[in-house]
Amino acid sequence: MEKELRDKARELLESGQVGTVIGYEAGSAPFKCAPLYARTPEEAERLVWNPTCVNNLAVYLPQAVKQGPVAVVVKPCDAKSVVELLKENQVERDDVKTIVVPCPGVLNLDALADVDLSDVRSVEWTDDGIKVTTGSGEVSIPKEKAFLPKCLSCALGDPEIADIKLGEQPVRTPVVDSKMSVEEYEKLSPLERREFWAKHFAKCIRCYACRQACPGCYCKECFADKLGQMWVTRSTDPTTNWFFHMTRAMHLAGRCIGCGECERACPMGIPLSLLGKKLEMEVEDMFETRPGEDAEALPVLGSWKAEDPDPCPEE
Amino acid sequence: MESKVISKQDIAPWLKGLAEKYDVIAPVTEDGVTRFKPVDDPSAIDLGPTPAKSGIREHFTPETETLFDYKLEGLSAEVTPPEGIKKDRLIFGARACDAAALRYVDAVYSNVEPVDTPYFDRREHTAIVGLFCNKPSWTCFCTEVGDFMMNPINMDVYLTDLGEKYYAEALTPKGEELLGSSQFQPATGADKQAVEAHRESVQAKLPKPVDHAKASESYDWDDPIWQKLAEVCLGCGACSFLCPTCHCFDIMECAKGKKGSRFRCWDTCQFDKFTLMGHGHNPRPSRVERTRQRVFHKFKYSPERYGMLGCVGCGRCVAVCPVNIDIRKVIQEIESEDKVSA
Amino acid sequence: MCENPYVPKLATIEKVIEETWDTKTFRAVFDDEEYREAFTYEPGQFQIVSAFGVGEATFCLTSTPTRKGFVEFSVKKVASVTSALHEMSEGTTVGIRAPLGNWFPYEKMKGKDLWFVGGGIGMAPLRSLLNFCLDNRQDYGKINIIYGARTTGDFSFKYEFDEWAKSPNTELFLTIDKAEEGWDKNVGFVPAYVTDLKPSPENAVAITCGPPIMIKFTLPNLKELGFADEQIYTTLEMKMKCGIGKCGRCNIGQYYVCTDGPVFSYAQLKDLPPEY
Repeated sequence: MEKELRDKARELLESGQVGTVIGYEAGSAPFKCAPLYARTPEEAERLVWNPTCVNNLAVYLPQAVKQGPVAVVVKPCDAKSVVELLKENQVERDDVKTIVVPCPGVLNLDALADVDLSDVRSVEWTDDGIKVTTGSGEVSIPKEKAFLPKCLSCALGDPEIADIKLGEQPVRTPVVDSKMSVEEYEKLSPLERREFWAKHFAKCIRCYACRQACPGCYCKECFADKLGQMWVTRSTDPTTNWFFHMTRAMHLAGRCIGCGECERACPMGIPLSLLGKKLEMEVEDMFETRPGEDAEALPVLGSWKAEDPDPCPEE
Repeated sequence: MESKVISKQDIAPWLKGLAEKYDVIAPVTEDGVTRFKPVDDPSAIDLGPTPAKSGIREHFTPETETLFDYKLEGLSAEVTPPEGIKKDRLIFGARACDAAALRYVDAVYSNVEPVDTPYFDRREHTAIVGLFCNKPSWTCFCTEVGDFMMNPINMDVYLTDLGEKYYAEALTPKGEELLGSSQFQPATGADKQAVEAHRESVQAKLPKPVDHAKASESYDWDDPIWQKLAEVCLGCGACSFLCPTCHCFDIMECAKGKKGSRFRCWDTCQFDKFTLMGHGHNPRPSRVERTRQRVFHKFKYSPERYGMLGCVGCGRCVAVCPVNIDIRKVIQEIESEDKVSA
Repeated sequence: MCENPYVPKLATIEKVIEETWDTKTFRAVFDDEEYREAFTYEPGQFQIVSAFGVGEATFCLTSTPTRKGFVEFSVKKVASVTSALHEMSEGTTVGIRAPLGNWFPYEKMKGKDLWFVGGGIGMAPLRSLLNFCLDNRQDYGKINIIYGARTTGDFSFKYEFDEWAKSPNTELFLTIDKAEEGWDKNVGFVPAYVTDLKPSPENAVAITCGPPIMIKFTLPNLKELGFADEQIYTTLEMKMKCGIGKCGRCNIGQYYVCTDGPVFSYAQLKDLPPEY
């Protein structure tokens, strides 16, 4: 698969179809990868595709396309971000080519908790999970433990925007229902939910890693950074943290495609993708539409249809 | 000062005995994330093999700190400064890197008068019991930038895990006082040898020292690496906020009608508005300048100004960066021909 | 425990002068009598003024320490704190943290001819040194003041022009960007006016402050006239918060503009990374 990826990237660059291929390269450890902007055939040789490729590279698109057409390596989940960016006119269709890779699931670093990380040589896919090779042998980890929760509940096939398909997506059997974590959450009473989020937001240090890692957060000036009208200060007291996170969640309602980068980037372990998922479900219930599926559609909360639910009671 | 040992079972009673004089702060794990928090019950302490996710920094430079309260009355105003620390604190289980980082922050906050009094108030009223790292993380490189793992600084007591017990060395008079508790017994020659052998074996697996301060003299302002980093860096503050030597802050107002407070909160040179002036000019307008600033500040400007690196090799920035920007690799690349072994 | 340096001293606004459509000068007096009596500073230093409820902002001390009992700061309305200050009337309490930073090395300027080159609001920090030198007139040679503004409506300190021009062995050169009816003095940008006036570098010092674009063109012009790097001084503006070298924001290389500056000679600036 890596050979096909590199060949394809080289072809795109040499033919001048794109100026940059954004993909993954080996990171500073065998269980990590790093984003790569490949602009020459030599750089294209560094592209990899393995279980460590967790990043959603669509986050780089709005800036990258300013230099010209870009190809981006995407998993089916990441490809949904491309749909949203197209929908919201952050990239032109002609400026982006998606290279869709077949994805069995990507690595949950917690799975390596019992492995000596300094001794890891490689992380590869097996038929039912991953294989970690260390200096002292091989460790097989089944997918329930090896993959991120979003991968376990993934039912995605070919994405909507798939300019180049490097193979068929594996047949998926979601082992965990995608709504499970939300179902657990929905069992909580409103007061319990309030306490749940209050406890988590109290941990927030306002590093904004969640926001910066999110392809949906591309605003040139975030509401949280405004100095003229200061909507929210950078105090980390629970109320201010709550305001920031809830407002951001509302700004992403109907636009969050559940890539989970926010939660992965968060250094404090706040379950942010739960918030995104819950709001995605609310929007689906109300407007019968899901984000990341139709690039021609209008943004759901940026448009109005006569059939939209009307919360105002009849006279 | 005489070295001692304490059985692991006696740690809890020892800390409980100190509760009257000290508020104990120790690593506690919640939802899989370990942070230093005040603990009433020592059994909640999770010393773990590898260093905690975040260090002890927030107990000296808090994420948010009230500088003073104010009250408005007509055209005039009244200002109330905050109270100082009321009770001493004892930080238990700090790593050598985190304690060593305090030397750097001390230097920054006292380099020019007036000194940062709230910070030094906290420093003065805090005892630190450190812990030798049995199992450094894959991101640890403290030995590359200093020798404080073997020769700790800014600690009162240094503990080394010997399995069933800890070997305890007092490094200051305060430390001696702490080890005066009945739970401590004198260490034997065998204990001492075991500790030395153990420490040597851990150190052997860690990187060798490199004179980064010397190498930084020839850093290239226009190195192409800054462009590369700028493209990949997300511009969040995770690296800075988990860094024990980072000390930058913003000052803001929390106004509630006629009263309010002025507070300071963590800030980072990685945020785009850090150096933005009121009339729109920004000396560091892109991530090219900002990624360069982070590296230059820690490895070049700090040795120039304070005579020491602004990095203690704790590796937290490496562990937390969502896009795997590894400062060890960055330094290696910009030092390539100039790398000098200390 | 020493005093908390982040807590400002209370001061009351005694006078508000409307300089231009967007600039006001405030005169403030410290509330605490003992502090007021003991307070002193050097020309070139700055202060951080609090508009309680909004925040703090940095302003140069535009008054001179030779005139005691008060401090002055000139505020151009650009953002929230400056807007809040502009709303204030006489009698309002503000907070002041001062004096901060380094100052003009006036000792080294004694006996020399001085060329003040100011543009727009950049005149404010220069005014402190200018009035200081005029109050110690015998210590300095010929004093020349070049002051440029976009239009006649953009000049500050107009009420002091007479005093400056009439001071012994002192000359005031005003210039505006574009000709205006009734204006019989120079028309043109400050850097060009400097070249026209041909200041002699012989036993002279130039002190300049103004918008970045003005400084960018004035410095090479002074160099071309023969001024050595050590003979040119400027005062820099950077975003500041703590003002005491702790918050890490205003650095240029290893130097903090708030403690190692804001006054720098061109000789020092040349060696700094180009990040200001």
